[in-house]
Amino acid sequence: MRSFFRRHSNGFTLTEIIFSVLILAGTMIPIAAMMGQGFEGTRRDQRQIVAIQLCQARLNQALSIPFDILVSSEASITHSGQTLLPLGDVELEGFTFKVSLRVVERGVSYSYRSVDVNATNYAVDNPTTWVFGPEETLAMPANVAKVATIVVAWTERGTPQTVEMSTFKANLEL
Amino acid sequence: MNQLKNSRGMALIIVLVLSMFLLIVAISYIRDNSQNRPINERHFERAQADFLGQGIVQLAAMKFKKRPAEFYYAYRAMRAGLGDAAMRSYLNNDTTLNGEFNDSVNQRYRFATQMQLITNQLYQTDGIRIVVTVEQLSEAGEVVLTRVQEHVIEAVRRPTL
Repeated sequence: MRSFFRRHSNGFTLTEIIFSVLILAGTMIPIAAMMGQGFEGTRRDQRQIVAIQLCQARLNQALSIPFDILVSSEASITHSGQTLLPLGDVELEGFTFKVSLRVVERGVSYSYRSVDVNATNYAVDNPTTWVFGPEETLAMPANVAKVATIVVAWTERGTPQTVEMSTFKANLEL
Repeated sequence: MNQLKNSRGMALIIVLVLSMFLLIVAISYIRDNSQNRPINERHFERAQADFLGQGIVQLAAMKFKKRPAEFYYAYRAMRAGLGDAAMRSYLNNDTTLNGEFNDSVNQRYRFATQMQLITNQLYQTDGIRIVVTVEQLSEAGEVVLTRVQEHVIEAVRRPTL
C-alpha cells in the first residue's frame, strides 16, 4: 500500500497542474482570439475575391453588348427580350452583392499627319514623293466612346464595401 | 526519492513547450492571412489593367477605322527609311492612345499603344496588330505591374490599280 502511494507521488503536483492550466489558458485565450480574427479576415478576403470575379464577369459582358444600349443602370440590361447584362442583386456564397453599371460618355481626339496627295510629284506607290503635312487633330464627338464601370457593392459588418472596374468602349459601327 | 525530485517541474516545461508551439502556429497562420490582402489587390489591379488595355485597343481600332490612310502612309514611310515623324504623330503623340488612367481607388495606370502592319503576301491579306502596354505605377512612379493586350484587325488590301 505504501509503495502504491509512493508510485503515484512521482506524477505532477496539484500546484504544477494549476500553474500549467493557468499558463495554457493565458496563451490559448489570445491565440483563440487571433485565430477568430484570422478566420473572419479569410472570409472577408473570400468575399472580396468573389466581388472582383463578379466585376470581371460583368465587365466582359458589358464589352460585348451593342454600344447604343450600354447605359448607366442598376437593373439588368435587356434587348429583344433577352438579358444581355444581368445587374442588380446577386446571391453568391451566402452573401448579397449589388451590381450596377455606370457609363460616362468620353470624347476622344486623335493626332495624325496627312500626306498632300495634290503635291506635284505625288505617287501613291513611292514613299519618297510623299509630303507630310503638319500634325492635325481629329476631335471625335463625345458619343463615340464611353467609359463603362461595373460597381459591385456589399455590406461587411455594417460597413459598405465596393469594387469598381472600368474600361473603354468605342462605337466601332460608325 | 531522487527520481521524484528530478520529475518535479516537468509539467511546466511541457506546458511551456506546448504554448510555444501553439504560438508559432498562430503567428504563421496570421502572417499567411495578412499576405492574402495584397494578393487580392494584385488580382484586382491585374484585371483592371487588362480591361484598360482592352478599352485602349478599341480606341486604337476606332482611330484606324477613321484614319486608315494616314497609318499606312506613316508606316510605309517609316519602313522605307524616311523617318518616323509621321508614325510618332500617329501613335506616340496621341494622347488618347498614350496616357494615364486613375481607377476608383486612385491607382495610377500608364498606357502606351503600338500598331504594326502584318502583311501576308501569299494570302493577299493585311492585318493591323495593335499592342497596348499597361503599367501600374506606385506612388513613387515606379512600375509595379505590366500587362500587354494584343489584338489583330483584319484589313482589306487596296486593289492594285
